[in-house]
Amino acid sequence: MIDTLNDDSQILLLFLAGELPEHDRMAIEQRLATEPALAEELEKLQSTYDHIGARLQDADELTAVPVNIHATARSIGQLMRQRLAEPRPLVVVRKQPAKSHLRPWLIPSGIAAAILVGSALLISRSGMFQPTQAVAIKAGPTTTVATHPASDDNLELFKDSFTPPNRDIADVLSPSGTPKDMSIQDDVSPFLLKVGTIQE
Amino acid sequence: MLHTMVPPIVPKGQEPAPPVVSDEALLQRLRDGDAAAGEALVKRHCTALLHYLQRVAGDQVAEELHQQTWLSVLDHIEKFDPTLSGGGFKAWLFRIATNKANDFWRSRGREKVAKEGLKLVTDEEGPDASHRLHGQEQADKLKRAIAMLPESQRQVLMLRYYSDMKFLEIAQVVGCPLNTALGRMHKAMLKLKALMEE
Repeated sequence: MIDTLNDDSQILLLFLAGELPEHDRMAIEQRLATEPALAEELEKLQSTYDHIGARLQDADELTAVPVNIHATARSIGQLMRQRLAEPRPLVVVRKQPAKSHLRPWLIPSGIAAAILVGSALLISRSGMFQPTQAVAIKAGPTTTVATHPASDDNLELFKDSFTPPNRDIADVLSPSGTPKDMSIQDDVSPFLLKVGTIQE
Repeated sequence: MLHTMVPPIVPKGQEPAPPVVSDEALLQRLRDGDAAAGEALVKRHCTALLHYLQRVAGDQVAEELHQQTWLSVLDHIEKFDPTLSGGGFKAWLFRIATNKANDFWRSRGREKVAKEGLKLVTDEEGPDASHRLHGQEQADKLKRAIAMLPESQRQVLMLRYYSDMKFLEIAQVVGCPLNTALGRMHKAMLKLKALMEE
């Protein structure tokens, strides 16, 4: 506690009032034993406090409280009775609208997500990012996938834009852009199947 | 041995016997609708509270503020929580009284009330002040000196002398840090002593 106080006079006031924690009180007692100036200040503070207290007490005795205590208590008691006798105002309980369990930030986040998904769908349907048409031709026991680039430019764009996670698209397309037949085996990238159109 | 700071002032002849029923128990009874319990509380704290209000707001308004304080106690009785209110009922009571005094100062304007307060004190001297008893002169001098203290210092000083509150509780009542309350107390003591010695 002492650490938060600005000067010795404040510490001494708390010491005199007996409001210092035991640890701090012992520290002050040690200082008082070795610092005469501090002990003198303590004595002055005590003297001043006592002097003011005595003068206040004398003044209170001479300056009668301007009211009779019993009469005051009775009149205030009467006011209290009146207040207590008054019907207590009805407490109107307004039905609060049901609180949503959703977190406030979920609503704008949901709207933003919906806009994002909607935009993605629109863009994908407009064909902006459909450079090729992948056709899966079922042939016999295996399925053959043939890719037909719409144009060479689209092919390059398509090549540059995607890097399939498991298999490079360039492996599927021939360097000249012509379709490259390929039998779908177990290791065919699912990515290719997603971007293409599967025809049975 | 060194813990000799005098206890709060209780006028001679009016030392209350140790209360059989605690303030908090009386307050609970008042809460339950027993106005007699409220009356008992008023009697118990009336003198100290009135003296405090006289010192911080002046004789003219002390009685009115005293009544307002008790009615405010009744109005806010449900809010009092002895487990949360440091210092118990008395500290809560003096906190309400201090707020009432502050409201009074705010509503009247500090400068105006300060001048009126001093005027009230000096008016009481009257033309035959020199014939008064020495004690009365000293009392008047003290009142004048108290009136000259800044309001913030006066409140801390009077709360310390008229209530049972610790400095930490006083700091909470007046809404300042402990070191500020102690600083105000120290300055008020020195200033009051100097004014009384003039």
